[in-house]
Amino acid sequence: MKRKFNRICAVLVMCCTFIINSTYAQQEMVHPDSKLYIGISGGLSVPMGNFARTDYADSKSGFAKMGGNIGITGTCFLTKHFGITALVSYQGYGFKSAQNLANGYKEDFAVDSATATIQGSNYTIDALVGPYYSCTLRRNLFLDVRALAGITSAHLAGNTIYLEDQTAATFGQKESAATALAVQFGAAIRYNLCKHWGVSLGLDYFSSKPDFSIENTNRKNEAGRIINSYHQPMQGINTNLGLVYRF
Amino acid sequence: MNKKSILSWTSLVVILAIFAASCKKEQAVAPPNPDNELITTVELVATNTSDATDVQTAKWVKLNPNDTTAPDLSKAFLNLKANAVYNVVVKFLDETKTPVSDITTEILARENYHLICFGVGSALNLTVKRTDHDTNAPTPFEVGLQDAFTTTAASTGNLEVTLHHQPNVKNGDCAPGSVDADVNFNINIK
Repeated sequence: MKRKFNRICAVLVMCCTFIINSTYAQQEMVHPDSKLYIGISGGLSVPMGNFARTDYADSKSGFAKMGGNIGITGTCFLTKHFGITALVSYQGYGFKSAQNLANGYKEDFAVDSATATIQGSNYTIDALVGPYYSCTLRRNLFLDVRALAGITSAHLAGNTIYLEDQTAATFGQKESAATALAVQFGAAIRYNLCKHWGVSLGLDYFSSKPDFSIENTNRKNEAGRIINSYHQPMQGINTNLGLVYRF
Repeated sequence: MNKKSILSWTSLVVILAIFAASCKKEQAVAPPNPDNELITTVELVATNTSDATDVQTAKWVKLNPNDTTAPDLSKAFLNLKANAVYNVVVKFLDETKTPVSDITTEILARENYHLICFGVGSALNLTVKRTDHDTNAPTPFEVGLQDAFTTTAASTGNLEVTLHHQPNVKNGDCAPGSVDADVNFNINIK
């Protein structure tokens, strides 16, 4: 599903590029007073806190690594400076330090070797809405600030652990999903290139605290890292570069 | 940079972000260590439950498990009284280390996937029952580091003691897993 989503987004961006290139010549005038904007943005997502920790022995560790985000924004200005904005976004974090898992299980089960294979990845799909403030820095250059709240569908990666001694054993942690409230705060610099099109460069802080219930498979003995739930903040900084279309 | 280029570069960055967010399956292997700890010595310490001064010790030693030298069996026997019950403690040591390394504490720390099994010779009038349990849930399994040896009529025979390593396969039976130690003691019941 995620790959399909990625492909759709890639096609959308390429379509935007094509439209820009084909219509750019007729759009040299700048009109900063548009009431409705839509934008597509993408960039890096840097996880923070326990979510980004990779300590095998700490059940709070989320093993999230730096990934990417893509979002579609719609903004409606109610006054000259204030408006309402909505964002639908995907933030993918991936999984960091499978090696720590393998080393930890090898030690805890005192086996010859252990192999950790990660199933899926850590990611969120968010639908957020909130107030928007924009002020002019200079001609065609704006500072946009937004505070968003909404809902996130979060996903936690699973794993399969293969223990090899003189005999072999396999067990695992299933991928899990949870829905939770989420908030996002951020600011962006936006530059209007022409009548309809602009670009933006922004930084956002995202936080959510889903309560994952985790199913473990084939755990015969109480040993090694075993997580039955995960209720830690999934938080991070998103940097993003965006294309904005003003109606 | 003209405005058209800015838009093109922006589009490129957004596309790259999408690929950065895409899934990649990650796998890691923790390889074997060449210097695993050895078990060179297995000890049985038996204390008569009705006579605390009746303490018997047996010791099986093989300092280099990898060569073909026969183990030292000079102390690998246990003299027990007939019709008695003994509390027995099993110890595993690595006597190649200085000071001697007590592997028993490691086995105890990893009791949830270790099991000690006893093979009593058919001529021997001895019953062995493990008395300690691990912390597996919901059903704790026996471990075997502490046992009760119950003797009846006088007899002599072999007692095989095996340490089973059962990572995530321990189920109370001796069969799963691998054998970390397999030693034999001569038991005399008088």
